[in-house]
Amino acid sequence: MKWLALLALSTILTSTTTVAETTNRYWATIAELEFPRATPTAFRETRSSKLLRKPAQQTGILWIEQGGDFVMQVLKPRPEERRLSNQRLQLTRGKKQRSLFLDRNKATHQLLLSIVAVLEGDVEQLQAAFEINSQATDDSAVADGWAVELTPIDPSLRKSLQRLVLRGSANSLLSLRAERPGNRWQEITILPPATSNHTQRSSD
Amino acid sequence: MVNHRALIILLLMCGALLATALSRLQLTYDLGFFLPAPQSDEQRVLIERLGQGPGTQLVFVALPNTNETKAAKAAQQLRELPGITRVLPELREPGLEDLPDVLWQHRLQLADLPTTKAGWLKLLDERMSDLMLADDDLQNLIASDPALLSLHAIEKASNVTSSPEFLERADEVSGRAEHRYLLIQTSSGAFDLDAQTTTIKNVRSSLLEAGLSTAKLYGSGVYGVDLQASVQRESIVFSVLASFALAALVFFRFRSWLLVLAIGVPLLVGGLAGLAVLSLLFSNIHGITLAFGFTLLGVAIDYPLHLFSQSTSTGEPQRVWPTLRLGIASTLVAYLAFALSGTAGMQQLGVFAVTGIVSAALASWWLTRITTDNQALVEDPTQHNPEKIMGHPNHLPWCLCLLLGLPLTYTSTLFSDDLSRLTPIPQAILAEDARIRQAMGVADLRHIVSVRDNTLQGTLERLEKTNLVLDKAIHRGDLSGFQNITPLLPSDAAQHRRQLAARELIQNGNFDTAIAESDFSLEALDPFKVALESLANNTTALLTIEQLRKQSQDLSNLIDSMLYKSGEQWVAMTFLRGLPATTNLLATELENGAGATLVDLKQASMTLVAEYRTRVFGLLGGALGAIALLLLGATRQPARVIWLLGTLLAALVLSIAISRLLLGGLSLFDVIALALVAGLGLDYALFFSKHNNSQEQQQVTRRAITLCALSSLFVFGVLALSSIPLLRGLGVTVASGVAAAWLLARFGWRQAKDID
Repeated sequence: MKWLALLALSTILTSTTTVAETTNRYWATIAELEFPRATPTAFRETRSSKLLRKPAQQTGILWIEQGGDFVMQVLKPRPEERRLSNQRLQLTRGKKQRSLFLDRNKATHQLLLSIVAVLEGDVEQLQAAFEINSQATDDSAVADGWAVELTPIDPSLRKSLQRLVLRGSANSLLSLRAERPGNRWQEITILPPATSNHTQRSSD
Repeated sequence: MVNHRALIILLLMCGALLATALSRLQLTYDLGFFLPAPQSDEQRVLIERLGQGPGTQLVFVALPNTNETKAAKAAQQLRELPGITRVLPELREPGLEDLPDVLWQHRLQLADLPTTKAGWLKLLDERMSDLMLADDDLQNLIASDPALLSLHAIEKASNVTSSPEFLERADEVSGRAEHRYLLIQTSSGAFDLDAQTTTIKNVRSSLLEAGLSTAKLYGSGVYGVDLQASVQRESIVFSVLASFALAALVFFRFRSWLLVLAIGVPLLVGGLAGLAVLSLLFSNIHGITLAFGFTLLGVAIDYPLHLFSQSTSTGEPQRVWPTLRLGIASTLVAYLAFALSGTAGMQQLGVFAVTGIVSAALASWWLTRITTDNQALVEDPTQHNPEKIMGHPNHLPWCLCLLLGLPLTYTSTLFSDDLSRLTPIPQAILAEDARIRQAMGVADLRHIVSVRDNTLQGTLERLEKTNLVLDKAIHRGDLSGFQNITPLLPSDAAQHRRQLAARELIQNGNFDTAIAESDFSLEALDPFKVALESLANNTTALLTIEQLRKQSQDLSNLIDSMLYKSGEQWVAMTFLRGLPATTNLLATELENGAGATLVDLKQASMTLVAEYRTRVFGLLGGALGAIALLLLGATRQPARVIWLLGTLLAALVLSIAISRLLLGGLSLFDVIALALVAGLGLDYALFFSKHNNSQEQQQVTRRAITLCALSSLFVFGVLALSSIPLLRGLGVTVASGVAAAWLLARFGWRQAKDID
């Protein structure tokens, strides 16, 4: 009977190795994403809310500054600038400026941090916060399309952020979708240069 | 030489007086207690709210070369200390649970809502942006309060900035170097020195425990505590030094330690008697009363010195008693002036000094009387010259000194009414304090806007008009912000107006139309609509000050710091941020637009001190007149009285001139010290011009006066070396006055042998 047990164990070991390999491959995909970090890149952000009839949408440009601040400059429909520096988010609307900590809004904070980590290719930070689920399916219908699903390791974070889905094509990131409880979601789509009309910083 | 039994009785009496004083003594440090009745609104605000503004409760902690983790740990430890209500930065955002229930229930009465469709569309558009980052809490808040009136009310009424903004400003202050800043909000005002002392001591210990020994503290409370400590420290050091010097001098003269003790005991009796009487008459005694009371009592050291000089040399202390009595009576007249100056603190000072002088004089007299009665006369009275040795006044010295000294006192900088010049806080620290405060956007400590009315509602309505003026000033860049009670407590009129506006909004349907045209679902803001209908239908009661006070102690304290009752009137304060250098335009607009007063606390304190000084001078002038009459009645020697007063006046003028040259200007406290100069100067002049029975007695008298002058010169000369401007000023004024008075009296009276 011992050989049966050995067989079972070897099967499990083989299977584990396969999962680990897959996981590593996904992490490698994220690490290899080519992203022009300091260059303004167009994005579209869509979010569902129980208060809204249809998901709200806004477009703009995003980039990472040399000092490490992540900036999302919303150009339409209501111009505003969001600057993430450590745990602080600075919002600028016209002449009004407002800073807030994101400690209460963990899901949004993690989403923003994840975008930064993805843009920076900082897999270690993502690995510290998420585990990869290879079950994600790519429905982007683009060539060399892929999808990676990240699940928060922190159970308290899972209460406000169920999962993060990254979709891409070859070594390009296409979108990042945060799914929250109650069928609510938020998605940031990276727009290809051809479809982007606004890649100039308003301060330039 | 000294009657031991009498000495022991006096020492026992000291013990009894001390016990009486200690059993009832209640010290206070409320400066308002010591200041005169205010004459203007500005002065009234200064006195009523001295050291109580929200800005005075703040302590900034600068942490050089400290990382964020260490600073956060230190902040957490500080939060656990008693007497501290808040420490910034707090690494959390305020949430719905931080909104007091009463404000949440009355949120739609706190500020105006848009009434037009366009206004609502703009507002909903802004909320759409918020929703992109909103968590569940914020979405619920928007559903019930789309204008975020409740959040804005809390933010506007808070005297400290939000934590993220604080961190941003701190980055600017430190130039993004490895410096961290913490902002501590204490529960006590700057002039609650007892509470502040405990809090600051705990803060320093906590920072040391956290390994932050290089931390620097800034804030008016910190300076008050440090000033008190340095005044106490230097007072003790100089008192000990002066006591040793005085004891050495007396020992050198009498060669007896018992006499040194005997000469000190009447002063002790005087001080303790003054203290005991004060504690019996007043429920609270001001610290300044004691400090200056003991200074004024310094004149009493002359009494035992005169009596024992005569007693040990001639065995006839009673011979100097008539002159001494006259000197004592004159000093009492001068010190009684303080009791009539009209402030509780000065009344106490007068009572203390008068009681002390009388007690010290009686103790001196009794001690020497008993001593003399019990011992054989050391001299044969027959050896005395039967003819009195007479002298004559020489008016030239004092006239010359007056002519010389008066031009030196005729200057616009003769007096310094700026109380800040009396603190020993280094300019560099004050400059850094100002830089941090400005950069952190903390309320200006110097300027406040006050409005007052006979009713609470009248005051709140004026305050709302004040807001309109201040909003305009912000709009044109003359002001960066302000804080008052209106965001939390609108007037009843404003709440009624908002009730009517709610009714109109429901009737005109502008809100519903805006919702329909926006991306918000029709039922999304139903919680808001319910609250709006409740307000429109008068089912929501008006928000009252009592409701706010009942809500929490923090809220009650916040109200008290901005709104208070003064007599029959209600006074509301507005604290300003980022005020321009020139405030004339704003002051005029506030006066014309809202009947509000822009109070410059520094200016108000300077005018108050100047008026008070004039009053003290007037009283001292009156006292001098009364002394002249007393001297004339007692001596019936007009020429001597003219010389006495001339000499005294010249000594005072010289003291003022020297003090101005050395100190840059006389403070109010230096003016009070002039009363001591007058007491001592008159004493010297009286004794130098005294008729003596013999050459020897004349020599004894002269030596006694010189001993008195030297003792005062030692005591106050040492004080002139103090690093604390307040103490230094006292030392310079009295020491220079004593020297001038002695020289003028010694060389201004033609003694008998001079005539010979």
